[in-house]
Amino acid sequence: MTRRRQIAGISWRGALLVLVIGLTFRLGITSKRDWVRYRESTHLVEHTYQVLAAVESLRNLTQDAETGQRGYLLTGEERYLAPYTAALSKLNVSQAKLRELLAGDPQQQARVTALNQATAAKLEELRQTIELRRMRGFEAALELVRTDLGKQAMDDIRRIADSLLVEEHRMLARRLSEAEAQVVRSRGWGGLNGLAILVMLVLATIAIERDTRQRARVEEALRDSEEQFRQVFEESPSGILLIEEDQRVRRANPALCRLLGSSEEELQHLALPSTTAHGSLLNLMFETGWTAAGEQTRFDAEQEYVTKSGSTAWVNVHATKLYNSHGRAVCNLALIEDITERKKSDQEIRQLNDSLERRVTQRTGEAAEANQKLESANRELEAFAYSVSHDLRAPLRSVDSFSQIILDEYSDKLDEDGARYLRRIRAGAQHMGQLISDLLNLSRVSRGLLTREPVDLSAMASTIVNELRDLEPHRTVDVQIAPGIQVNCDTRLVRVVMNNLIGNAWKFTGKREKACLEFGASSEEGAVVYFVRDNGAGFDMAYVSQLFTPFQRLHQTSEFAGTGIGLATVQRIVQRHGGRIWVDSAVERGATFYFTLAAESDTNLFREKSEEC
Amino acid sequence: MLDKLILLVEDNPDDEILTLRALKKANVANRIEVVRDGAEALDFVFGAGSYAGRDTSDMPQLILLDLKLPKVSGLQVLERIRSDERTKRIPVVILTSSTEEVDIKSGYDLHVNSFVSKPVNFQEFSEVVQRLGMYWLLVNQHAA
Repeated sequence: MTRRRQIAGISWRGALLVLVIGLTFRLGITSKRDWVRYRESTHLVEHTYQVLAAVESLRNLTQDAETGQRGYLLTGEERYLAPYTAALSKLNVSQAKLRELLAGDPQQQARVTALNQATAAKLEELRQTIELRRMRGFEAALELVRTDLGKQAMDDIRRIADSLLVEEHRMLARRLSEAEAQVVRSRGWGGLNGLAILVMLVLATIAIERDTRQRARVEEALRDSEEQFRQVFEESPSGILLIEEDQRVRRANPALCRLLGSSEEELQHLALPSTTAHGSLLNLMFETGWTAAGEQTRFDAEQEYVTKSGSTAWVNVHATKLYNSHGRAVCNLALIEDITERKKSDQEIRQLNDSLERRVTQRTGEAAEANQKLESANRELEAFAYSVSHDLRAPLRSVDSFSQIILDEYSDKLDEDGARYLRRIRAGAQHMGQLISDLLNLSRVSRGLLTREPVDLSAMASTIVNELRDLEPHRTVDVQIAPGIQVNCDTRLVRVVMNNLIGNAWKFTGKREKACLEFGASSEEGAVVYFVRDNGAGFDMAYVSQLFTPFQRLHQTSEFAGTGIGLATVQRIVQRHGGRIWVDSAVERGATFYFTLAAESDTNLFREKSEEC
Repeated sequence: MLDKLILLVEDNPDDEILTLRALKKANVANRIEVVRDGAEALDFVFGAGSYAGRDTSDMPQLILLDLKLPKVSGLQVLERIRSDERTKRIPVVILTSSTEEVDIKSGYDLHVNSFVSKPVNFQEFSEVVQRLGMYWLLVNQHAA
């Protein structure tokens, strides 16, 4: 853009210059022509005056001749003829002169001829009268004079000479006026030319002035730019080095000087490669400068070097060629960054990483070991549970069965106390059987896979309530089950949960005349919460922490039967589903058990997926 | 019907007494052979060991099999019986204290005809055994 305007400026100024030269040239030509014309006019005037002089001379000579004639006629003395003879001798010359002067003008030439003829006639009359006086005396001569031939000739001469002169004057006047008009015209053109030159000079001055101002601005911008670059150079935290093509340092900024511990002057007087111990960095820059001067135009390297004080430091050297506006490489630029700190922290990070990795490996090993231990413990627990399942129940069955057989078949040999004790033995055995079953259940819900499938909790609740009604048909319980509650869960395990919660509600409302039992679900903050509510015995919330602990009971066995394992099992199943269980109750005001069957984040995840679909 | 033989594989003498008593109470008057471990059970069925020379054409019509047995486990016994052409159609009922799922699953994998847990309560136990005897000997028309 700037260049194009410059080109336009150059051509504009060139055109102006050519115009000025042209106009000046034209002015010169015009002046020259005017000069020639002036010369011509002068010449004409001179010519006219010569003509006038010649005519005048001719007439004077004729009069001189007449004067001499008259003197002679009157006196008869030869000496009075002197003007006559003098005039005669000069007349020819004057005549020739006049003829020559008017040679170019035919009209005037004709007048000259007439003038000469009249002059010749006069001279003839003069000669005759002088001859008569000399021969026949004064009277004879006077006779001839009286014929007025001489006077007539003289009048002719005067008339012709006058007309000749008038014509010459007229011509002179015409030529002068022509010359003057020409001069006026020339002066007009010259004035215009001059004006044009003046205008152009003014324009040129303005252009020069503007150029000067622009140059001043450019120079100021350049100075600013140089100042900025100088500041960048001086203030840069990175070292900056300029190396000439001949491997001499041209400039080194303060940062580099600090890094190397040498002044810029010292560096400028340095012969590379340096032989000093700490000169390895200089040598590196020398090499990079050299490389940059060679085929490569860019160079990046991280280098460790020994500082002047003997310690080691790390630098990052980035070298590149610098070109002038003609694309010629003028010097090499090296940017040197002190990366010692970064290197140090890199190394520290690496060491930390290594140690972390070692620790992770160690911990992984430990975890694997712990896992193995856990697995073996689990296997032992399984074996234990299996053993309990088989071996603990068989003796109980013996105790119960044989007690029963004695009661059945030997009742006649037992008194009332004996029979009662046997019944107590049986009750104890059966309670222990129940304990074993519950314990096995509790251990079982912690083991094995959890398989989720769609389950209708409402239907499940109804089935459980029906079973309870079958067992205790005499009880009247108002049961409300919300319909259509579906959930993805492990059927078998959730059946244990529902069995326990509904069974508990059934059990703890046993002393109510109007027992109520409710199962339902509500949605709270995106999570589905299920609940089992009753209006039974309830409990003091102060003991709520014991509620889900195995073998902890809040009621006496004589009041409400139970093993104290049910809710612990329920909690474990709920937790295995990623859910949680909590309770709200008060003594004699019933209890409400709430539970969820999915981790709340899982629920959200599930919802997000649903939205995607 | 009287000729029909029931093989009871049971190592617990108490359970043996109780089972036999329950069967008797149910008027199951079959011949009942009792063996006390898995190896003995197999010997009896295939006429080997201490039962060498037994008439193996006299096959049990029902085998009541405990799982937790000395020497050869109940499941191994079941496996052998099911893999032999002569015995594979004999109805086998697992009668065990176990309520472990793994046992139930393994049993059904080996085509056991029924899996029954022995309850602690004597009345319940008696009822279960009586129902078993009735069902498998009277109702079920087995292939043999």
